This record gives sequence, structure tokens and C-alpha cells, in this order.
Amino acid sequence: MLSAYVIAYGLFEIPAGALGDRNGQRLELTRISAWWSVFTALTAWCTSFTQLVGVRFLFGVGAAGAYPNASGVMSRWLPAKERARGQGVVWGASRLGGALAPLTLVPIAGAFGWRSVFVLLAILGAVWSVIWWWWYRDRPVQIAGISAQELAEIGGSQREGGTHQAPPWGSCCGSSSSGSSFWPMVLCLGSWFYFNWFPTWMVSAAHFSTREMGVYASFPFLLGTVSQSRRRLALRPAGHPAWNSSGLSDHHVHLSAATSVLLFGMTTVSSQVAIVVLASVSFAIMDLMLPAAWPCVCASVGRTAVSRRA
Amino acid sequence: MGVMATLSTTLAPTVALVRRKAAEAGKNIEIVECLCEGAFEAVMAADTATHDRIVGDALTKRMQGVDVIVLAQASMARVLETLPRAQSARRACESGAGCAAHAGYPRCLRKRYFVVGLLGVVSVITFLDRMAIAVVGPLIQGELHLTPRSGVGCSAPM
Repeated sequence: MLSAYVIAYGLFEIPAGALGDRNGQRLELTRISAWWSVFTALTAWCTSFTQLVGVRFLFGVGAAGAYPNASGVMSRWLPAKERARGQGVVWGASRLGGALAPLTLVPIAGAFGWRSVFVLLAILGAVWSVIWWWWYRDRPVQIAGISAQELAEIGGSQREGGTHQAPPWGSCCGSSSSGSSFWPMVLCLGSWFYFNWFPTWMVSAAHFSTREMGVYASFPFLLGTVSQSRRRLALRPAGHPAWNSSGLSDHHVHLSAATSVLLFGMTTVSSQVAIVVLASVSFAIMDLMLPAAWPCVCASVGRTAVSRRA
Repeated sequence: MGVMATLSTTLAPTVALVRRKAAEAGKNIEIVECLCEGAFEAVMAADTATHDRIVGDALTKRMQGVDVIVLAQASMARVLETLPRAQSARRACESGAGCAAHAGYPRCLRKRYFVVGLLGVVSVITFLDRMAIAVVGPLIQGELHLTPRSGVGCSAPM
């Protein structure tokens, strides 16, 4: 069940992003949020392991592509100088969602049953998709009430949007002395643990009560929100001397090593306070790497796109 | 004094405002009105280059001899960057001598901030959805008689 969602998400992330390039993010984000809302609702009616695996797989198919399409929206709507701040808002919000999940969903599940949680989330997603389809337009000039001043501020980014191009797999996968590859992103995959196993591990292995888990599982994400806002601590531009020949910066290697040590330490201590502290700091350090990992991929894709046009 | 606008519905009230303020200050001024026809339609069609060209031409050719120029819409100010001697004009604009339209346009009401806000909301919802099965996992395990080996959780890499 754990892998069903991840496999689906991984398989459909790139196709869903390409569909947004082709059909526009208004249609694609509406489809994504409506799709995941349907399968979130269906989770509430599952009565067996097999049903849960199937529903979570299909949920992953629908949820894939949300962030690539959000980036597409920002490329159309934000002037270049505001896009980094926009990405910060969206990623900071993701950590806020991670922090709110245990804080809000555990008490709701305790009061109304776990099935009610999925019904509530499905309603939230459905309402968002209706608002998005009703209000949003792919081109700023199409939206009701926008001023000529704002259109001028948005400037060239209000074009039709970029055309889809095949990803430059060679430069993304290969090593590079300028640090342009997606390998730094791989070092951030430890966050996978926090999104699924951490709450279960707290209860089953570290002997937290469900109520305690509902509070303390939010701590790593709260610190992660802080890390996302301190991205300048981790960002080093491609081409910086710190990037070594394998495309990974020393910075990333050090942070990754620190994360590993802290996570290992978390498994050896018995104090609940120590567990929460070590887990939270480890996640915060992991989130310091993420903002720097994105530019590595962007540097690969962007450089290849520029060379194609030249 | 020159008053420029890309819309007639903006030009007339701006001219009226300038006349009223001059009268209140006891000043006797002569106003040269300039409507940049086609510029508003260009910017609404996302053709900012044509907008800038029309406004720039009007600014350099039809405003000669005036002491002060009022740009009725703040969006017109971008053209100053492309003109010679723009520095002094920019200073005037930034000091509040012109660009009256700035005052009626709060930053918080810009549509693109609502767009980013909606993306932030969906980012919160998607992570609530992703983590839901993990945080209520112990309850699901109990009701459906599952074990942690079944992997009661779901995730995304980031």
C-alpha cells in the first residue's frame, strides 16, 4: 500500500506536467484536484487491504503533476523577479499542510472516525477545483477585472506559455562540473520517510500514543517551513566552485551526512523528547537541500533549451 | 502641463482632477491632453511592445514644450525606461508629481497574488491528502486488522 501511491505518482508526474504544457494549467489543475478528490473520497469506503492499495494507486495517478503545473502557472502569471517568492509560498504551504495533517486530522478521526477525514478532504479538494475552473484563466489578459497596469507589470510572461519540449535526459542524468543534474534531488528523498512511515513508526516503535503522535508528528514540518524560508542558506548557484565533478555540491554532501547521522541517532534513543528533536532537526536540514536541488534540474533543462534555440 | 492616458475614460477624469487641484492651489495652468489611441488595446492583447511604442511616440512628439507630464495610468511609466533623459522624468514620477493612478491601486488586490494564494491553498490540501492515510494509519490498522508490514501510509518524494 505504501508503494502504490509512490509508484503511480512517479509514473504520471512527467505526463501530467506535459499535459499542462499542452492543454493549459486551468484544465489540468482542475482535472488533477477533481481526480484526487474522487479517490480520496473512495478511500473512506474501503474495507480491505486490496481496495486500499487500488484506491491509493489511482489517487497517486491523479495527484501527480500538481507541482509541475503550479510552476507553469507561475511562469505565465508572475514577472521573473517574483517567481522565486511564488515558489517559496507554494513549497512553504506544502510544509504547513504537513504540519497541519497530524494536528487536525487525528482529532477529527478520533471524534468522527477515520473515514470522515477522507470525506472532509475530498470536499476541500472538490471546492478548490470548482473555484479554480470558475475564476482562473491561463492568460492574465483573459481574467475579469485585471488592470492594464498589472498586465504591464506581468509583462512578457503573459504570453501563451512555453511549448512543451522533450526533457534533456542526458544532461539531467549525467554528471556535470557545473552541478546541473537531478542527483542532488535524490539526496532529498529521505523526506519520504516523514510523509508516510514517521507517524506509524512513532506509535508502533517509539511508543507514542495516537494523541501524542497527532501533536509531535507536526514538529518536523514546522521546522521544514522555516527551512524553506531560509533557502539562501542552501542555495549556491550552478558553476559555484563548491560544485564538485559529480554534480553534487560539498554543501549537499555535508547536509546529507548530517541528516543520516541524526536519523540514525533517532533510532537509538528512547527518550521521546530526543526522538522529536532529532527527527525535526534532520527534516529541517533535509529541507535546506531541496531549494538548491531544484536549480540543478532547472540549470540542465534551461541550458539545453537555450542551446536548442541557438 | 501635459496629461496622457491610453483610455478616454481615464483621460477626462484625470484632466478634471488636475484642473480642480490647480484651482484649489490658486494656480493658473494650461493643460495639453493626449490620448494614446491603440495603446490600451495593445496591452490587453499582451502586445506590450506596441503599447510602449505608441506611448513613447506620444511622449516625445506630442508633449514637447510642456513643463510637467502626468501619466494617468501607472502602467505607462514603464515607457520612461526606454527614453532618453528618462532619469529626470522617473524622479518626478517617483516623487509623486505624476502617476496618480498609483494611489487607486492597492498592491494586495493584484490578481496574480490571488493566483499564488490559490496555489498555496491547493499545496496545503494536497499535503493533507498525502499524509492523511499515515496519520490515521493506526486507526485503519485496528479496524481493518492490518499490520505495519502492509505499509499503511502513502507518500510523495517531496
